[in-house]
Amino acid sequence: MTHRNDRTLRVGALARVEGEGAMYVRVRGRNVEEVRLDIYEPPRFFEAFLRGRAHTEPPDITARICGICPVAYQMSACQAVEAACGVTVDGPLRDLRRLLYCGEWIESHALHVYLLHAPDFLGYPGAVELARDHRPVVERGLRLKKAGNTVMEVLGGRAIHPVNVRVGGFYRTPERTELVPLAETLRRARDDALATVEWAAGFEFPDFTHDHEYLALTAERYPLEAGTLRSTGGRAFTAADFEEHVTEHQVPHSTALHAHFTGGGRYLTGPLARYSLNRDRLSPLAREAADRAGLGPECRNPFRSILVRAVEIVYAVDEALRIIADYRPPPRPAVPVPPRRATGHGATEAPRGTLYHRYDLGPDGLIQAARIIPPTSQNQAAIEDDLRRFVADRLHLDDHDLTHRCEQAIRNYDPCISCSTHFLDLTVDRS
Amino acid sequence: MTHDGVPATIVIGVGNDLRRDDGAGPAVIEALRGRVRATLAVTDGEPARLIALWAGADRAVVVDAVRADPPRPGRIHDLGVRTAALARRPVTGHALGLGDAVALGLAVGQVPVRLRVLAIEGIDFGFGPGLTPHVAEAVTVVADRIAASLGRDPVRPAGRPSDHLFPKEDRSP
Repeated sequence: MTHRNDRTLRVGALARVEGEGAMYVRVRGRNVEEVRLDIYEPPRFFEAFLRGRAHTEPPDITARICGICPVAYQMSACQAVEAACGVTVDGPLRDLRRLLYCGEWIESHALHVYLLHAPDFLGYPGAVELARDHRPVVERGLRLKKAGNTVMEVLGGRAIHPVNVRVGGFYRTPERTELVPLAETLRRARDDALATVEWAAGFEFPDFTHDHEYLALTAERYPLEAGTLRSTGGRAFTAADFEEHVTEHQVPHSTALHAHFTGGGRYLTGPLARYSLNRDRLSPLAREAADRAGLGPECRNPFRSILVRAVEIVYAVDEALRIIADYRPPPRPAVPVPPRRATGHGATEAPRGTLYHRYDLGPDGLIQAARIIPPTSQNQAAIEDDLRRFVADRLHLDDHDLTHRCEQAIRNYDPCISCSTHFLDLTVDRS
Repeated sequence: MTHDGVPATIVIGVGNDLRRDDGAGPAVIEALRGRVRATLAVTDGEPARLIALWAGADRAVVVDAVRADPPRPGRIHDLGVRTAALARRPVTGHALGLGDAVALGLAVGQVPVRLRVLAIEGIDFGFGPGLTPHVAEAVTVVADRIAASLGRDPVRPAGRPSDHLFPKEDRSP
């Protein structure tokens, strides 16, 4: 029952998000008194598992945090350990890492765009119902996803938790000839990616904008495996200074730590931030696609994140093709990374946003302390703020409709609760 | 269909062997190594990956762990395509599960002609390796059942890459 002055809305389990958790919204009169993204899954203690392990182990251990974005964990882990050991991985090895990361972006974004997010805009309860009416569209999404998986298999050995990544590079690097069929697959995927942007540009987007400070890596190219952190508020710092600029804190309703800028201020990381801070670094093809889709220099409507993800798929496919075209096999698959007593930091752009790692190594190379700050946990405060404002402007809707819209608002962020800790349930309380 | 005209078969174990009984599917795959002529693969149940794995196969057998209420750990459910497609609530924390994969595959016409889903009821899906005793027993039963089934109707490997860098396809006679 809906009580106009005193309302409670509840959803037991949010659909089409990675992991499980809950949301609670309480409205009294015209005031949205409380919004909570409840994440109640027990902490997974990965930082604790890492203590006492060799400096070579974080890429394999942390990849297990997520089945959707394991490469992000491997890349941030490698970068942090290599920084600690004073080693720089460059040239073809760095390009191959970037190529592997492109594969992860393609498969993760294609999954979210087609199977998790698009049903919201087209009035379907899920991907299966969407596929029954729009089979060729979903087939296109599956082809794109498969193209990303193929990149992961060729470079990483397998699509889930790749086994070919190591500190210093790879266990094995491909010959040029091995990448030829991959390039053919990607050329077809480029057409599918462009069609995806055109298709998503035709959706109707709710009129909603936010003013979060955006945080993302910036680099010479569109950021993936490295870069300097910059914000729309003018902040600029390296991964080594991440913990000076970002403070994590516990809230009672979440087993995932919230994050804010030190000294106060929520922020948002992820595709909207990345695009808004790096639009001019997109490839010409991706930039043209963004132009045609009506994306301006900055995107402040989270519902349009599906468009940004589609543009990022175009970029990832285009970038993968560029890397393959320029590829010359390196003389060795990995550079030595001898351990030393030091602390190293790494930050890379996971599909859902900036992923930070820190490792304190002892003289024997064993890890004494580790810190991992995933994008979904950084974004919790911004998601809650979006919901608060989103609900306040739509109190005229009945409970069922409002609850449904809230779920959509959460899906805008493609939250990976499994990464932030684990699982999500939604409760909107108007009582 | 493989190049020599023999039907391609794939057996897929779905699950995470670090989430206790969720490792039943992968455990069945391990138990089948050296015993059947089929492509053996392990995956996490994400629909697009599952559909990509069984694409092109004439026959697929999928083994997954399920949760039931009331629970009867180790009970085996032998499901056809239509029944499996109705199981839309995933056991895992993933956004979509095995039931979605089958339903999605049907919607886009990407389901093998013969698809069989063997579901083993689990009880403990907590962190860590190792199956509970009844589930471990069921793994042996399911592996035997698959081996016998494929033995009666010998087939060749599907002849396409598995999701592993170093494929462990079983090609024994």
